[in-house]
Amino acid sequence: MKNRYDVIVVGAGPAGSITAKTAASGGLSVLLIEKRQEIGDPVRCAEGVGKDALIKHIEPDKKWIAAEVKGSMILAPDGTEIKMSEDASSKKIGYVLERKVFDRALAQKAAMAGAEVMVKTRATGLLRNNGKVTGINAMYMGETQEIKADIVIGADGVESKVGRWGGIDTSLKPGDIETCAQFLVSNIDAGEYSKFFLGEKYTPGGYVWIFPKGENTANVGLGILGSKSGNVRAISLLQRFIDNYMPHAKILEIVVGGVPVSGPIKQTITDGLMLVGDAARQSDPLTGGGITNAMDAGKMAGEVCIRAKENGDYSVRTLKEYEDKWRASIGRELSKSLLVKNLLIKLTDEQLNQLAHSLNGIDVSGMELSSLLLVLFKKNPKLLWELRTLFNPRI
Amino acid sequence: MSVDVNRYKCGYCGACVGVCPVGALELVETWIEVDNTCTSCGVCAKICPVGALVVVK
Ligand SMILES: Cc1cc2nc3c(=O)[nH]c(=O)nc-3n(C[C@H](O)[C@H](O)[C@H](O)COP(=O)(O)OP(=O)(O)OC[C@H]3O[C@@H](n4cnc5c(N)ncnc54)[C@H](O)[C@@H]3O)c2cc1C
Ligand code: SF4
Ligand code: SF4
Repeated sequence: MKNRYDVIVVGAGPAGSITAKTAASGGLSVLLIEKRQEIGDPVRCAEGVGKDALIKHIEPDKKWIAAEVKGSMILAPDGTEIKMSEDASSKKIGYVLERKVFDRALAQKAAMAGAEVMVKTRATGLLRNNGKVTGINAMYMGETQEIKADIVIGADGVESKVGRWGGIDTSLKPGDIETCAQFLVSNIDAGEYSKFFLGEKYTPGGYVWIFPKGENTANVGLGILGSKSGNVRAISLLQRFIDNYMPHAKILEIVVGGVPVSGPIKQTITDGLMLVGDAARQSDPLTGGGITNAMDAGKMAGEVCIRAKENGDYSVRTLKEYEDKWRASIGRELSKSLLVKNLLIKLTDEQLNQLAHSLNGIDVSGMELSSLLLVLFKKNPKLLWELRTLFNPRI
Repeated sequence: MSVDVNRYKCGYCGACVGVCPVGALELVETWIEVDNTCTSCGVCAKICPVGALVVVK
């Protein structure tokens, strides 16, 4: 390890690894640090991802693909099924990953591009000069040291501290986080669809998911909106779901975690610092999906690092290009999802049933979420009036 | 004022760290550390998916 780099990336999740890979591919000297001794473990994810969004960044490899899914199935509280996002050509459209292997593969891509990787290395603070971020304090195997850089990337996930150290308030209020628990279960028939169970009867302000992982296994989990959790713990609700709906399931693994669902936050850059992925709260407020947004943001941030080096300017003047780019793409989608999430959490189980029934006789199987919402809106304008700005206002 | 962490229950997910308004928590590999800036506001305990945190007043 050197004591100076062009870029230091804190956190080797999808956001950090793609940032490091992109910047290193552009010839920059990059250090990628991960505080855990094993990249990707323990997993804090349901591991579902759309094929197209993933393939933009990495060639699929069977080493980290646990299963493929045909599409999604949403289940209303009364059990009404809505099948959607199927590929008409009957190709599988999504993957369920093995993230322990996937995250390591991404870090390896960064390493192959020239980045240095250090595990069991934790950022403990930022170095600053005249208000500008100039590196990090790090602890490696119990030893502390200062490492300098022109740009520090906070890719430190839901628990992010890097932004806060840099003066950016990323703290999540209870209404800005889904508190989640998941079991990897065996002895079940998981089918070929990702399933989403909606309704207060399952969980307040969230949903239950079942993602097939192959060979009679699946990730079965749920999230509760923090502001609605009261004294209920995600793990207890999940155990109740398993007891009620899959009593024969055997639990092979427990996963817990928090997903930021705040929508776009005000600031993700300061002089010498950029935040990417969950650290920048870029996960989708409606679905909780964050892997591909994190990778997209990482690519944008990595490219801006290269530009900053060319200009010799690491201030917000140059880094603003990242902020503008992610807001125009990821940020717009997050805002739309936030609108839908804020409405959905207000609906009663009866209203959710009503929405599902209104699709009776309509083939929505090939639709993406946005098209499905448009159909629902047209059929239930009063109930979904708050969503009108999503669509053509004349509808 | 502080919080008690039941380290036998904790799943070291970091959710509590993300919600602490004053940044009093830190996840170090498999344990949570609490510093003396904690105000006992209780947000972390509310958010923990397994109920591993108890606020001490
Ligand atoms: C229960 C659950 C289910 C989910 N399901 C899905 C899903 O099905 N599909 C989907 O797309 N998304 C899902 N998500 C969201 C997804 O996991 C995240 O959006 C994604 O991992 C974000 O990637 P990241 O690189 O920003 O952060 P992370 O993957 O969280 O990586 C951050 C890394 O930074 C490290 N780190 C933190 N602090 C420091 C420090 N000080 N020094 C060094 N390293 C540090 C951490 O150890 C970690 O490895 C889920 C999340 C949860 C909790
Ligand atoms: S009680 Fe409040 S201040 Fe104390 S650690 Fe928990 S969230 Fe932070
Ligand atoms: S939220 Fe609970 S399980 Fe997660 S790290 Fe904090 S104490 Fe542990």
